[in-house]
This record gives sequence, C-alpha cells and structure tokens, in this order.
Amino acid sequence: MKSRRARLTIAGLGGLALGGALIMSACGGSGSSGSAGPATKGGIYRVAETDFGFTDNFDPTGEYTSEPWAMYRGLLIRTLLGYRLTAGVAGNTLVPDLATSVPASPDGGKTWTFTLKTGVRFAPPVNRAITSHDIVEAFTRIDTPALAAQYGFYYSAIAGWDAFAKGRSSTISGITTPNNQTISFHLTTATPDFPYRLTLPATGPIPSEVAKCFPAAGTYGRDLVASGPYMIAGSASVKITSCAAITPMSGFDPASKLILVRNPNYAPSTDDPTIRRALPDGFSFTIDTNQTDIFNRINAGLLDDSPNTPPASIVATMATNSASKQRIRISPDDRTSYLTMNLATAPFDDIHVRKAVNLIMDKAGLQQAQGGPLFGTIATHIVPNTMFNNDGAITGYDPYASPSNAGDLAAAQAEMRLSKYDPAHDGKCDVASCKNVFAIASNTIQGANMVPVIENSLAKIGIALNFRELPPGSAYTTISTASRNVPFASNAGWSKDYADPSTFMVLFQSTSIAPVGNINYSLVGLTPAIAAQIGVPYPKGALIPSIDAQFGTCAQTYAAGARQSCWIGLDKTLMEKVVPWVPYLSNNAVHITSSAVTAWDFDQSSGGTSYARVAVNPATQSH
Amino acid sequence: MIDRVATLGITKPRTRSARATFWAKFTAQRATVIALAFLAVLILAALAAPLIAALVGHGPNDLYRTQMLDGFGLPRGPNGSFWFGADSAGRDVFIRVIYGARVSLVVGVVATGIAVVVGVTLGLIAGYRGGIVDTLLSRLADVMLAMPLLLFAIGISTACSTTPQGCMRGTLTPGLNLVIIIIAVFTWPAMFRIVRGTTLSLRETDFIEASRAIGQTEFSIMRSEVLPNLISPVVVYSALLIPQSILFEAYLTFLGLGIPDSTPSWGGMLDQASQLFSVAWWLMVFPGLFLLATVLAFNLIGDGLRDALDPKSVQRNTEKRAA
Repeated sequence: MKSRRARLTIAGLGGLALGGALIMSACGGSGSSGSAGPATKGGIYRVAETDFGFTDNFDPTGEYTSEPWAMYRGLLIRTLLGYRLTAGVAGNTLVPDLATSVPASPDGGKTWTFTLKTGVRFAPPVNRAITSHDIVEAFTRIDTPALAAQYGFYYSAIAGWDAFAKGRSSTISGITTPNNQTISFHLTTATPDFPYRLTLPATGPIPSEVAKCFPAAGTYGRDLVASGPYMIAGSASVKITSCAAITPMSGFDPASKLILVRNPNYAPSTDDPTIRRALPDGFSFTIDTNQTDIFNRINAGLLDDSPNTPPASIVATMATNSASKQRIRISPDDRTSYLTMNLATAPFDDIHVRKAVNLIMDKAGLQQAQGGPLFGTIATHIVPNTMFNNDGAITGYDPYASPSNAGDLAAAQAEMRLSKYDPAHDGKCDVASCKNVFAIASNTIQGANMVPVIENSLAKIGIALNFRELPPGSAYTTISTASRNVPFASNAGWSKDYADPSTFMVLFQSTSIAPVGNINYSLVGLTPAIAAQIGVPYPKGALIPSIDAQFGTCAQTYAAGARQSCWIGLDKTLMEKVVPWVPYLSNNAVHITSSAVTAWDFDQSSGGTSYARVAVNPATQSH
Repeated sequence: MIDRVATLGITKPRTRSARATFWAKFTAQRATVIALAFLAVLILAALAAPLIAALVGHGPNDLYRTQMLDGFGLPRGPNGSFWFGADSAGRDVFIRVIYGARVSLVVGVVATGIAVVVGVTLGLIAGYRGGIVDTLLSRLADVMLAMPLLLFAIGISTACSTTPQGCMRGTLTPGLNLVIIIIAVFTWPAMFRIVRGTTLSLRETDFIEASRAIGQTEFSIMRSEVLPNLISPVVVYSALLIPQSILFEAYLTFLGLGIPDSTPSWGGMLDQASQLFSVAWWLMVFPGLFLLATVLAFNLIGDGLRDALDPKSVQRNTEKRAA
C-alpha cells in the first residue's frame, strides 16, 4: 500500500508539473499587451489594495516595502541610477537615471563620482532644476535618526556618516558637491555594489526648502515633491512660501487614496522613453480592505490592477477561460521562501539534522500549498537564479535533490544516522529534544496548508513539531524577536533590496543578529557574547558556523565576474556547510489585470507592477 | 387474610418509580429521542474514529495531494473514496469531521463539567450563607460576566502562543486545555446565578428550617437537603451549556486561537472553509452540518430534560390539550 501510494505521488507530481507548465504558458506574462487594443496615451490606471502598507507614511526616507518602491521608481522619484523597470535579468541591469552614466570607481570601490543630467526639474510646487545638493539633502535625511530611515546601514561606509548621525558634524564629510551637477561619495571601505545602493528610493533628490519643514518621521510623505513623470494631485496648489503655509497635498490620504497626475515639469528628453513610457494620464491607488472585492472589481473592469496576490481560487477560475487567463500575469520575482532552523536550539544545532530536514522535505507539497507552480518554482538554494544572471554555475544546483521534489527518505535517514540525536542509528531522531519542537507558522490559508506537509515530512525522521499558527504580523514579530529563540519557522521569505546577492547574504551575517527586528533567524555566526547580548543561551558544546569572513571577501570583490563567483560560492557554502534554511520556493509575482489594460510589465527591481510601462484603454474601462 | 381493598373491588393504582416517570416523559417527545439517538451515534463514531480511519484507509492528517488537490492546490470534492471531499491540504474531510467530533464533545462536556462544579459550589455557598460571602461571590460573577469574553480569549491565546513555554511558566499553553479553561472560566457565572437564586429560596423553606432545628450542620444541610433539590435545574442548564461550549470552541478555533490544525476540529475546518467556500462548498457544509446537528441535539435534550424534570410540565401539557 505504501509503495503504491509513493508511485502515485511521483506520477501525480509529474502531471502537476506538466499542468502548471501548460497553465503558465497560457497566461499573460510580463511585458505583454492586453486584448483591449494597442498601448496608447491616456486614461487613468486604477489600482486597489487592501492596505498601503507604508512603513513611513510615504516618506521615501523610511519606506521599505515593494509597492511604494514600485510607485516611486516608475512614477515619482528619479535616482542617480536606476533599472530598466522590466522583468527578468534585464530588469536588474543598472542604468543611469539622474546621472549621465553608470560610473566606474577609480579605486576599487571607495570613491564614486556622478554627473547629473541638466534640465531635470522638480514638480510643482518647487519648480526648479534638480542639483547635487538635493541628493545630499536625501542623504542627510537618511542619516538623521529622528527621521527613522529603514536602510541607512547601506550607507554607513560613507566617510563621516556616524559623525553626522551623532551630531558631531553638520555635514556628511564623505559626500562632496564640487558643483550643482557633480556629486562624489568617499567611502571608508571598498563597496563595489555602492552604485546599486544608489537606486534605492530614499536616495532620490529632496528639495530642502520643503523637507526642512518636515523634521519628524512620516510627515514629508504628505507633501512629497516629485522628480518623475507624475506627481501627487494637488501638488501645484501647495504654497511653500513658509513652513506654516504648507498644507497636505489633496491627492493623498494615507487611509484611503493616492491620486497621481502628470508632472508638468517632466522632460522626457532627460529620461529614457523606452524605460518610462508614462502612457496613462494619471494613476489612482485606493484602499479596499476586501480582497475578494478587489479582484471581482478587476474582473468587472472597475479596477485595472492590484499589488495583492490573488487567491488561488480566483486564479484557478480565470485560468479555465481562454479570455480571462490572458489577464493573469506571472512574473518570477527575486524572492525566496524558506523554512528556517535555529542553529542555537536542539535538534537543529546539529548539521546532520539540518541536512536530513532538507533531504526529507516534501517541497512539491509546499509548492502546492502555496497555490501550485503558478505561484513559484521549487527553490534549491538561497539566492534566486536571476540575481546571478542565470549563471550556469548555480542554475541546476540542488544539493538535496529528491525524486519529484517530494523528499528522499533513504537519504534523509542515512544523514540522520550521523547525528548525535540518533543514538539508536535507526535513521530517526530518538531523543526527547526532537519531540514537541516549538515552531511558528502563519495562519493564512497557505501557511496553514504548509503545516501538515512539514509535520508529515519531519515525522519520517522522528521530529515532532508543535506548530503555533499566528496572524502574519504576529508570526513575523515572534521570529524576529531573537530572545524568543524559535527553533523552527515556516513563515519566512526574503526579497532583494537591490540587484546584488549581498542583499540576501546579509541575512547570515552575525552583525544582522539583533534583539528586536532580527533578520538572521537561524542565528548563523552566533557567539557566546552575542548570545548574552540578545538573551538566548549558547548551546553547550556547539560550534555555530560563521560566514562573516567569506561575506567580507565577496562584498569587497570589485570585478563583476569574480564577485558573482564569490557569491555563488557562498550560496553553496551556506547550503552545504551551514544549512540554516530549507529554501522551498522561488516565488512568482501573480497579478490579475482588467481587460482594459493594453500594456503591462513587471518591475524586477521592486517586485511589483512596472507602473512606468502600463497602459489602459479608457474606452473599455467600466465606471 | 383477604385483602380488604381487593374485596371491595377497588384495584390498587399502579405506581411508577420517579425514574420510570422521568424516562417515560423524556422519551415521549420524538425530537428528544431522535436527538439522543444522534448523539449516541456521534459519540460512538468519535470513540471509534481510529477504527473508522483504519477501515477507510485515511488518517486525519494523511495528505492525498496528488489525488485530491488540483494544480492550484485547490481541493477536490466528494467522490467514492473521499465521501466528504478533501480539505485544502489534501486531507479526508469525512475522517476529520469524525475526529472533530471528539474535540467538540470533549470541550463541551469537560468545559461544562468544570463550569458546573465551580458554579454549583459557589452558588450553593453564596445562596445559603448570604451576607458578605454572597456579596463577594456575586460581584465576582458579575465581573466575569461583564468581561469582554472574546477579546479576553484572543488576548490570552495570542500572548501564550509566541513562546515555547506558553504563559505563566507553562501553565497556559495554546491548545485544547487552554480552550477548555477559557470556556469554563466564562461560563461558570451563569450556573452560579441559577444555583444561588434557587438556594436563596430553598433556604427559607420549612424543611431546611427543620433541619437546622434538629442541629444539622450547614455543610450537611447544603449537601443532603439543598443540593438534591438543585439537580433538576442544574441538569437542564448543563445540557444547554454543552452546546454553548461547543460553539464557543468553534468560534475560538475559527479565529485561529483554539485547537491547532493537526487536531481536527469543526471550528478549524469552518475557518478554512470560509476562505474557500466559492470553490469548495463541502468544506463548510459537512462540518457545519455536524456542528448544527450536535448543538441542536444538545438543545433538544436540554428541553426534554426540562420537561421531564418539571412536575408542572404534565399539568401544563394537560391544560394545553384541554384548551
């Protein structure tokens, strides 16, 4: 009976994979047009979401989620460097935006100088040319603790960074502006990926005459001055004669709407029109807390798009109809979903247990729990392949391969026999610390569906998990509070910040371990000193591996090819010698658009709709 | 000796014991009998759940992904092998409904049992002793009844879910026990009020006065004189508390605060169903029907018990018929 079931599983999975491939091939993909006619100018692109999810009330200094980044990059904020705002590897390619070119560093990554384009102007109410001083203003805001920047650590290598933050200096000495069109960054350590860090929206120009009026976190977003092709509706009506005269722009209410209109000062000649096509006359972002309603309205033509992931049930219904399945947009995202194991807690403090967990895990089951192949491909290592430009040295790499990705019992039990937790050498964990192992899961339907798959898999090697299913926010807070010392969690996932593998590898640095807001859930690189600092016991007799040295080497490697090889090597080290995760899904972003959408693309850099590259046909929109 | 009564041609009236009278009245109502039969079958099924699972060949947490989930991970409906279809993890809904009965019955009976013991004991003491004891216990009950039950339950369950140890040094950990404790804590005041009120009127009766006069202790009077007279309302109200407890467990689990997913429960199944109802009706229909039928059955039995234990019910029925 057991063997028959196993064969059925394998055969069924084959069918499933084939089915998924067929479905995907039939769906509209990135960069595709709709059926409503050619992409032309005009109309309002209408987007709804259950929650804006802003981390800083739309102030770019503190926004750290993908949807605001997609809005900024495509529509509102230009940065020194940017991306092509399209899907796939091309979308991770650096291009100049405000700068005239992507520079090379003369000293291996310690000095970076940029020349700004002329003729780029701020939107109303500022209405003046953007200068290098406006970039400096953005950096001073990032380096002002009261403004709660979310990723200021990316710039801490700039000389004088700490001195400014601590009030010992009135300027950041490592940023110089010889003239209005030139800006130089002088770093204390070689940082070859520094150009990528200048694509992040917080580094976009900010006019000091407005920003000085918003010295507190989360306030400037109500009067954000645009540099891109659109601006917040009502921008032109704001008076900036004094701070007291400034009122919130009428097009933005953080609780309900964000309305964007064309920026009259935007000069397409200063931009690449093949990147920012800017076809719609405006954008309407609204909140609708009912997710089902959002997708019903998209299908009825009352909305055009949503950053929310549609439920599998809606996608399944649409996929059965040849017309509606063209409106399902599937885009491989630079995101890895993973199960995390805590190296400081039993039984996961033993690498053989961690390897056995990787070998036994039914990844195909986890993929199905997430909605099937449409929602992602099976992940076999840490960093998504697109982040390595699909380098042949890593594509196909799968150190824990199993038939049909359903787990390999024999290999897992062989690995478990090497563990100190299997004194009976029967391929199963025999000790008490493998029973009732505390674990955290999300209580979303996908999260709940994963729980039995994981429990069944680990039971085969004698590990019994005690899952607590929590709302997503609580689940995240629980695993990111280091003192909780959670042994196992299934609610983890990571998306890149910028197109360099370091933004994944930073998760394993010992410096990323923090008492609150910890992102190194596995506590890789934990030392007795750090353990005491975050309030967790350091396991007796354990030697928790560290990748800090290898990370440092890769991070300072300047030559692109060598750098990529170094990161690939670190990915493999993590998978084989550290084994902190069970990566199980390279996520796809799934979008559903209305039949009025005539052009659509995926912004690989932000992980959302490429708003700069969409178009609608207003004649086919419903109202 | 010749029976004088018999010689006079008078037949001795046939008397029935109190138990027989109760049973006759209880079973006279068809709905009550059907409810009882349903519960009997449900209890048997719950007890025999592992046996049923073995016969069907599906465990409550066995996954049938390739057979019962489609390419989008959506469950397939009822068929010859899966009578109630599969859930979104590919598990047999029929087997989980049967196992879910265990949770519902255990929660219903145990939580109600705790509430009854606490409510009767405190109600008896408060009603009989009166004075400051009554005041304190009554205010405690009022406080419990005034507390926002659901918010309190959500708070406890959430706070106790984020560490391996749970809360209060491991005393409270999420799961069945916590759910039972929460339900018991919030349902004993209702029983307390009923018992206290009845005891207040009983303690003024002549037979209690007589017991005091002959020197019986307070404890002895409460145990042997008052308590037996409380059995009728306590039994009736307990039968009505059980379905409330079952529903409350379903609410808690529906909110993700009760029984973990690996332990099948009707509330948990309905929670999942609410997100997939448009594509998988069976996820809501079968556990929902069982929950409805079980709650209805307990309510009907409660009504039946009330009628059977109430001496006025015969008179009322007679008057009703005469009218």
